[in-house]
Amino acid sequence: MSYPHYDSETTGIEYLDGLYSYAMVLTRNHAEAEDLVQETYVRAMPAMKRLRPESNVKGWFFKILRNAWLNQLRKRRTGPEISWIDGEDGSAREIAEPSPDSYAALVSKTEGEQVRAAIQKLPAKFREIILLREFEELPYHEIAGLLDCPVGTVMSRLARARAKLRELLTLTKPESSVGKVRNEGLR
Amino acid sequence: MRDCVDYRENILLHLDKELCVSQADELRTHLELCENCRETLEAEKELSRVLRRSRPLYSAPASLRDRLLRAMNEPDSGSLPRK
Repeated sequence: MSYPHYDSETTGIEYLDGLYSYAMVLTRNHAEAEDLVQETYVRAMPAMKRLRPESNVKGWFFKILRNAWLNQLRKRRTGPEISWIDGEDGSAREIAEPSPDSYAALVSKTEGEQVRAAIQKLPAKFREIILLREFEELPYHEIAGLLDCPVGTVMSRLARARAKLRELLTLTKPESSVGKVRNEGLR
Repeated sequence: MRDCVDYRENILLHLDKELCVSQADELRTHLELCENCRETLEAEKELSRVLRRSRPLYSAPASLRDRLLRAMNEPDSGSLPRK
């Protein structure tokens, strides 16, 4: 497996959408996600030149963002809301999306909107692992390093997250006897 | 002899390219014989396809991108206020 290693031209801007998506699944709030991503770059930029050539820059950025998020949670511990231990209620924070302006965009948007809505209904730890694996394609050992947990935990959490997500997207859950894909909910 | 429950976990590992060669060969042999596991594999593939068509999950606001690029080009300009 090859990783995006550091070179002198790397700025980290190529990870912006991925980092913003990660911040969105952690916070479920655009303003907080934006602040978190900005904080990530504020921390990362002065340290970029100190990275070794073999450094895994992408994983490093994601780790900085996660640490910044955990620090925010610690500071808020006395506050009324701690999203990290939330359940499945995605209703408290509405997430506005821009409207599409072509039919093709609408079709694709509809599916994308459903995927985002389904993911945001998952518990935080499931949202996080789906983002890291299915969207960012981080290998298991790297996710384990990022989350500070064993690879076995990554595997089991990912399997449960995928099963729950499949239910939310009305794709049938693979069972021993039936495994056909029903896709109506996405069309 | 392993049963389908054992292979179910390996199907996910196979999709995520986390199986070693011998495990992948063993799974492939099982898939040739087992319709249920083939259907499971297809269902898992379909979920991955649906998710990956939705990339990126969110796009960063243009204003944030602009702010970051300015700060990268002019590190002393103060365009990224430290919180």
